[in-house]
Order: sequence, then structure tokens, then C-alpha cells
Amino acid sequence: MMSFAITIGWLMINSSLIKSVVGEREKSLKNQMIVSGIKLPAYWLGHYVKDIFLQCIPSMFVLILINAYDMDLPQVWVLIIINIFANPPFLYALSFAFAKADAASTAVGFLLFLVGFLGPIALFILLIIESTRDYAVALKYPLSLIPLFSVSSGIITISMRFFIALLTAPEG
Amino acid sequence: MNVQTPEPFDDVAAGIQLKMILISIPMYWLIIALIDSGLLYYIAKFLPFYKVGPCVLDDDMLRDPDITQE
Repeated sequence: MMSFAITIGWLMINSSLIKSVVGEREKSLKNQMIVSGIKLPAYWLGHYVKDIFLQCIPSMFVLILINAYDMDLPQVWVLIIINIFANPPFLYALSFAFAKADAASTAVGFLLFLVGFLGPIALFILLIIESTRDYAVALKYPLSLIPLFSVSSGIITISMRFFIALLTAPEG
Repeated sequence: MNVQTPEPFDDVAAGIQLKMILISIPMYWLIIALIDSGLLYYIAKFLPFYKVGPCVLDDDMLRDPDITQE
């Protein structure tokens, strides 16, 4: 349940992050900056630093709440911290697929809802059913390249790691 | 059956997610560098099915009055 709450919260953050990148391109601001002499690495580094700071605030709240409610999620902070660094480049790479900021924001929200919210549930169901377990393991690799899926699915698997180990343990 | 609780980042838990999220960081930066530097479009131009991109009028097209009048 906690992972879904995080996913829903992160959808809004992701939408605002991609909106700013696509918006700059839509209004030719990026073009203007490059014409003015800004190098591309500096442009992306500026965005990256800003987005890391922006994501630090909700991430810290998540970690504080996990500790405050004494949840059994050991070392989950590693995934949440890495997500701060992995999420912006994913969204920047995705931003090239969009020309309009509003469309990008809506599409990314929907895409990440599918992958970050429904994906881990589907994967967990596939993992429970013995005949589909191999598909679940195979799907986990490519889907985990999406940071939000990694965090959401990681929280579920860490919290249910004993149950998963029990399911996947060889008989005997 | 004696099953022990796995470590949080074992492969049965979140180990795969951790590995892939770490791989994804340089991978996405590489994609950004390829696209933003124009290298990807440069490579794509050599592909036989490449149709995307701005239409550039060549000399023959410019001489054709039907095209230039449009």
C-alpha cells in the first residue's frame, strides 16, 4: 500500500519535471540559451541539479515517515535515494518524444501510472502463479529500467521478501 | 521446508531492481547525449527507411515551378 502511495505522489513530481524540460523546448528557450552560448552539458547539468534538489524534499519526507511509522522496510532508503538520481535522466530521455509540454505531462503521468502502479501488481500476480513465474522474472529486468517501477516494485518485494522466498523456494 | 528471510537486496527481493536502476542512469544519459548531439539523427539518415526530419528542397525541386508556387 505504501509503494502505491509513493507512486501516486511521484507521478505528480514526474509530470512537473518533464513539463519544464519540454516547455523550454516548446517556447524555444533552449534554443535561445544555446544560441547565447550555453553548452549542452551545462544545460542538462543545470536541470539535473535543480531536479535533484526538487526530489530531495519529498524523498526525505518518505524516509522520515517510514522511520516514524516503524515500517519493516530495511534498506529501502537505498532505492529511494538512487531514484532521485535515476529519475531525471529517464524523464529527459523521454522528453524528446514530445513537442508539447501539456501533452508530455499527461502522457508521462498515464505511462508511469501503468508502469509504476499497475506494473508491480501485475508482476506480483505473475510471480505468485507458478506457471507464469518465469515470465515475471523475465519482465522484471526491462521494466526495472524505469526508475518509478524499480522503487515501487522494490518496496513491495522488500516488504514481502519472506513470502516470495517461500513461494520460490525449491521443494524438499 | 526451512526458508530463511532473504536480505533486502537479494535477487528474490529487490536485487534486480537495484541493479537495473543503477544501469539505467548512464544508459539514459547516453541516450540524451546521442539525441541532443544529433548523432542519432546522423546515423538514422543512413537507414533505408529514414523518412523523419525536415524536408530540404534540392536544386531540382527549386527549379520546378509547381513546387515553388505551392
